Amino acid sequence: MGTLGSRHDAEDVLQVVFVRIVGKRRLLAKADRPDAYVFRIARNEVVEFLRRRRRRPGDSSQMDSWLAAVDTDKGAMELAEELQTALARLPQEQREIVVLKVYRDKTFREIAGLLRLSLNTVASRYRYVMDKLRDLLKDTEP
Amino acid sequence: MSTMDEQHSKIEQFLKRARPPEPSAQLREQVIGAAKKAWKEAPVEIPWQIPLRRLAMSAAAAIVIVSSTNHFSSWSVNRWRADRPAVARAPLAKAPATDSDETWEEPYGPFMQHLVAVRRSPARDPQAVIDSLARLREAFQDVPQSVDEVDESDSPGVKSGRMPAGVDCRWHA
Repeated sequence: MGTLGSRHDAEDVLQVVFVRIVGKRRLLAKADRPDAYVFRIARNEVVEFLRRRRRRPGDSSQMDSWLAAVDTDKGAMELAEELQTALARLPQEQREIVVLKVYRDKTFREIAGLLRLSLNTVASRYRYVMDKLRDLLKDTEP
Repeated sequence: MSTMDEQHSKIEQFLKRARPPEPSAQLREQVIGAAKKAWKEAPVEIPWQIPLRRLAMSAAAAIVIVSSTNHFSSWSVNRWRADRPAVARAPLAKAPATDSDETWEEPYGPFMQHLVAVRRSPARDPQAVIDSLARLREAFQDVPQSVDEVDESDSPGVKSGRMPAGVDCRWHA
C-alpha cells in the first residue's frame, strides 16, 4: 500500500498476488524461504501494476490515505497525513525498507533476505532514510 | 553514534504513531474466495515438467535453426552455380592418393565439395584443349607409320618419348 499509494489498488494487487501464489503452490512448498518467495511475487506484481498504471491515460496516481492514526486525539489524523506525505517523498526502495522495519517489525537481516540485499546495504540505507525523514519531519516533530 | 541511534529511534517512534490499516473482513473474504477459485481452476505447475518443456523448446529451436541454415545455404549455392560460366571439368580419377590432401576426410557441404572438385580438376579452356588435340592429330598424320622408324638413332630397345617437331604440347590456360 505504501508503494502503490492507493488502498483500492493495493487490494486489487493483493488479490492478484494470492491467485499467483495458488498457481505456484508447489514451488512455494519447496521454497527455502516461503516468505521471501511471496514477497517477491507481491513486489513483482506491484511493479507491474505501477507500469500499467503509468501507461493508463487519466492516471490517478495521487496518494490515497494509507496510514491510519493510532491515537484518537484531534491532531492524530493530521499527523498521519504528514507522515504519509513525508514517506511519499522517498524513493520506492527507501520507502519499502522503512515500511518493513517500522510497520512490519522486520529485522535488518529479514529485510535483507526479502529484498535480496546485503545486510550492510539495508542498514546504511535505513540510516540514510532516517536522516532524510528527520529533515522532512523537523517542523512536525514535537 | 548513540545520539544518532537515539534520533533514529525517536523518528521510528514518531512514525509508529500511524500505521497501515489491517485488511478488512470483506477484503479477506474476497481474496480468499479468489484464491479458492484459482486453486480449483489453475493447473498446478509441476516442477519436473519445467526442464522437460525447456528441453523440448530448445530442441525445436535447434531444428528450426539447422534446417533454415541448410535451406538458405543450398539456395545461395544453387544461385551461385547458375551464374558461373560452364567449364569442362575432368571426372575425378580414382587414383591412389598421393597428395596428403586427398586422404583427408570428405568435404561436408555442396559448396565445399564443389571447391575441392574445382581444385582437383584443372579447369582449362575447352577450346584450347580441342585445338591442341587437333594440332596433335595433324602432326601425327604427317609422321611416318611408326615412331620407331623415325627415331632409329636411339639405343635399341628403348623407344623415344620425344614428340615430333612442330607439335605444341603446351597447355593453353
